[in-house]
Amino acid sequence: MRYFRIFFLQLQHAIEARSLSVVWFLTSLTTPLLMLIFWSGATAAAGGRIFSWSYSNFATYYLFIALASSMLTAHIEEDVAFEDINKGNLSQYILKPFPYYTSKFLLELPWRLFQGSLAISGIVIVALFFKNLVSVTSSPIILLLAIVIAILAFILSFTFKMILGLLAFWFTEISGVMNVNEIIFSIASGTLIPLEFFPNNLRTLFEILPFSYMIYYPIIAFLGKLNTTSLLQVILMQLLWIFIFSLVYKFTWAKGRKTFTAVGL
Amino acid sequence: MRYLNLFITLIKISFSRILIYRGNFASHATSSVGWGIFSVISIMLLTSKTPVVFGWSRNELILLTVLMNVIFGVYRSFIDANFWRFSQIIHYGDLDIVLLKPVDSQFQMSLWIFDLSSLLRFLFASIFAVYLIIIFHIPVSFVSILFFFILSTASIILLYSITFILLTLTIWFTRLSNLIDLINTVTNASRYPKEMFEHLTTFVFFILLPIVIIISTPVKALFQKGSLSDSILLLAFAFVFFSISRVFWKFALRFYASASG
Repeated sequence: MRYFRIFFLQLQHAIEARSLSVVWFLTSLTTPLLMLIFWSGATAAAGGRIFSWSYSNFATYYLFIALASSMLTAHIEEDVAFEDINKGNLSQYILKPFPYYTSKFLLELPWRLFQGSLAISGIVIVALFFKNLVSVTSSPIILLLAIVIAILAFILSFTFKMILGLLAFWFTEISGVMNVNEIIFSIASGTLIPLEFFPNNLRTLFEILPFSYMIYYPIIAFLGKLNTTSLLQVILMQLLWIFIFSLVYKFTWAKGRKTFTAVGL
Repeated sequence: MRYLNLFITLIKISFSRILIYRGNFASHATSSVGWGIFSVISIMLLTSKTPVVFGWSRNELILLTVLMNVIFGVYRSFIDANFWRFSQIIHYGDLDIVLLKPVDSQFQMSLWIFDLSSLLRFLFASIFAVYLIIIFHIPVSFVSILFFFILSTASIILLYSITFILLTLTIWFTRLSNLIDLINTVTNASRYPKEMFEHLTTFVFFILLPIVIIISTPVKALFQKGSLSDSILLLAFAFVFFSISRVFWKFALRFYASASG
């Protein structure tokens, strides 16, 4: 019950600060829109299709990128690094009778749900105006598995970003690490271009790395580009990465907490 | 002259800060150069399947991106770092201190701190641009280089003015601390050719026009493909938007309510 209370309190805060959420949503929408404008010219120059991708496919893909960036990608690392560890706010979490991970998860979730709802509203409006532009799978089983993949993608992203934030225990200035992560993430997660467009060896690498399971696979699962076997494989890979990251998180938290010092409370 | 001396002193302080916080400098320099490399890789990936997009060849688009890094390198070094603290200064009422100083408040909000690590991005991008111009056999002349510098200066003024005008809105909407993220993402549109946006609706195109000419106009001048109308438009926009930024800032200050706002 107390977890629900924390969740709803934070949801109230997210709704109260809705202007921030709207700006974040617009920020995550801008890059996919620019990509979409670029591909409109590129597909026209290539005779209507690139690698079996039509403009309509690109439109759906990048609209879902905006949705996934708003809803599935956690942005907790700055909060953990700068507010909690650097400024010392971690003290208040250590004193609370529930795990730090759970507290941060319940603080992050409402923001993702609120910004995700903005993105869904945007996609619904686009789908209403341009009937053939947005196409999602109609199979209930695939849709169900896609929802599972989306939930796991958020947990995966969240755990990874928590680890990234915890690096501030050892490096007081981690904005460089965050930027490097963002660059790798943009390429390897399929945010910039779909993984199909990469050379085979790079694509194989990106299929092993966790980033594609946070953005690319949830999207193509909803688009119906994967069969049931492939969807189950994706879920298995996500569970494997969540397990690995959980171990890394536990290790980082246990070691890092011992290095933490705060004054003034 | 007084402002020039102040500007030089502030740069000296920034250099001292680099020497004190060397780790921070290394971290910022890595990420700044990293973003530059990323922008080049991304345009190479985007154009890997299409040799010509919107009338620009793949080589020209790559060079456009590299030159964008040259211009943005200067902008990020001297101006952008100030904008990241803009909303915080207003939100926490620190603008009081700015207004009390006997120095122009817009100057203080725009040119007070410097991120000299971005100069490395400018340096690497400049060297890479020269290398690409040579291997792509792009004809440039002394006059085209001169035009590039003049128009790039106008581009930086225009980019600064657009960002400053939008950030001034935080006087009223003090909680919009992430507005700078949105502005920087939108101004990223400038790294694509103007022709890319011409087939959008006239309304959207005209809204984006000041942004989309920022990089492509000086680059076209360097390639000796620029039109006089585009160059005049960029210079006019730079002048008009800078004037608006001055007037709008002074107008907005009337509504500044300090920490109680």
